[in-house]
Amino acid sequence: MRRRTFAALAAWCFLSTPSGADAPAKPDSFGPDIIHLPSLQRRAEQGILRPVPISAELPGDLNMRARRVLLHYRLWGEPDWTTLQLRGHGARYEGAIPCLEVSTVTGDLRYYIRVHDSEGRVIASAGSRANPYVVTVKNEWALAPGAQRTVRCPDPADCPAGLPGCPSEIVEVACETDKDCEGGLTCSWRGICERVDRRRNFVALAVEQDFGIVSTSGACTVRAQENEGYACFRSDGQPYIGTPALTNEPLAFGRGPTRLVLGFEHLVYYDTTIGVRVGWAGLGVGPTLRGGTPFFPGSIAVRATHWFGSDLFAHSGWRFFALVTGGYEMTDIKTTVHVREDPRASSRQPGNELEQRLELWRRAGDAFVGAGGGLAFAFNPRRLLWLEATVAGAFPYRAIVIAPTLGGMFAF
Amino acid sequence: MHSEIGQRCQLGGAARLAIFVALMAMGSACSSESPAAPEPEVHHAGAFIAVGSTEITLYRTLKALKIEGDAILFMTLYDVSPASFDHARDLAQQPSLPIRQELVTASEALLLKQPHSVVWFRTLTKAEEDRAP
Repeated sequence: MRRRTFAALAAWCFLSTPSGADAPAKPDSFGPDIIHLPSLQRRAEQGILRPVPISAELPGDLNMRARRVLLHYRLWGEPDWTTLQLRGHGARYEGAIPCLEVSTVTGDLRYYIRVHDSEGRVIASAGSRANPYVVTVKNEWALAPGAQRTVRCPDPADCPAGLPGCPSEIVEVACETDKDCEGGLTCSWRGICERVDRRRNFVALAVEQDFGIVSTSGACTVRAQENEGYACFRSDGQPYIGTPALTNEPLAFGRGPTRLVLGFEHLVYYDTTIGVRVGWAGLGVGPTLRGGTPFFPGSIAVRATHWFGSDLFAHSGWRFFALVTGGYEMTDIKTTVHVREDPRASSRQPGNELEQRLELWRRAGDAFVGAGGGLAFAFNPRRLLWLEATVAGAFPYRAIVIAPTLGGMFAF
Repeated sequence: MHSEIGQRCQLGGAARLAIFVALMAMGSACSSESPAAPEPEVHHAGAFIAVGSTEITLYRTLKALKIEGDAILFMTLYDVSPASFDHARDLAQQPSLPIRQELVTASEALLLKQPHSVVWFRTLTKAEEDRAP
């Protein structure tokens, strides 16, 4: 619908260039909408040391939507394209390729025009990088008879910027997506086309070592071992099924499983990634008491990460980050616990000392939520090495799980 | 007998905030209202009792038979000569001790009148239980 609308408006668009003799060429299709210029000469010529005046007139509703009209040009022999913003006067936009840049070099000068809306989207174009308009710069004596001869370059010292024929300010090209940028440029988070290697999708491979903090008061009662995910073992390796007295015990810190983690991260904003990670626990898995829930080594988590800094994924170097995460994970935490036997109990497990230290396993999980942070080093925008630590609360079998992780991220 | 109960909740001020958060998350807290841990007594089967003042002997209760106003204690007498009650406690915590007499009987009331201390406790094995009638 939009394409048909702009085709109908094409007759309103007028583009003026230096005089020439070649037949008009069929404009290519580029960008979301095309300004069709049936009366335009595709090729032109002019003399050296003269500006190349460019003007475009936009049809009514296109002019209403247009925010900037940018002229992209490339001089003969130059590898890069330069961008100028045409000045608007109502529906008419004017500018010039500076004569000082045209200089005395003869050859083809290429250009095209793109119209951007207020959000940076390209809403119309005339010519393209692949099929530009061409102005052949020639010496005076080589110009065709009757060719327009504009004023030659003034003294640069008397040439104010912005006037036709004078050096103009090079502008940044606004954009909304990478499609609005050309020549290998990508759309930065500032909405400007930039020549950066910015990747948005990453795979992560990491090794995670879990640690945990668990409550140990009453952990070795038969009830706790049967219902709360605890398992206690004596120094002789026998499961503890004695009758402990109720005592206050401190929180215990212990080691958890070692996991291999594979993840995917997607850059949703210049400083924010979201991702999913799956893991597999290898070392550090505890025993399962008879009738207990077996340990499932797999884990899955989603996460959102905020990276501190500006457009970090376009550069290399150090960066800090903070994250929130949550998911499914079983964590076996191994620690020790002090147990005092109740001498009044009638039924007892033989051989339990009045006070003894037991090996304690806590099977925490299966869900968790947490937060963390870390430090990363980007060798380049495609490769990151990072170290992070998350602190998560596991539930319904509670524990605080601390998980330092070392890994790498690789863009694709 | 030394007990660590109560002292375990005396944490340094710097760690209190972090521990508080952890405690809240885990639904557990130290409480001064927790009951005192039960101490083993002479008539508890499995209790080690050091008796005497100058010459200390080490017994272990196998069974207590309650009678009116007293209890008959069935005990094992160990072939050790502890120098003090603390020494007797150390000996009692050893996994095996030489036995002088597998089964002796004593009146709890008479024993309590002598200098004594319940120095340790360990639940009885089946073999130890079988010594008592």
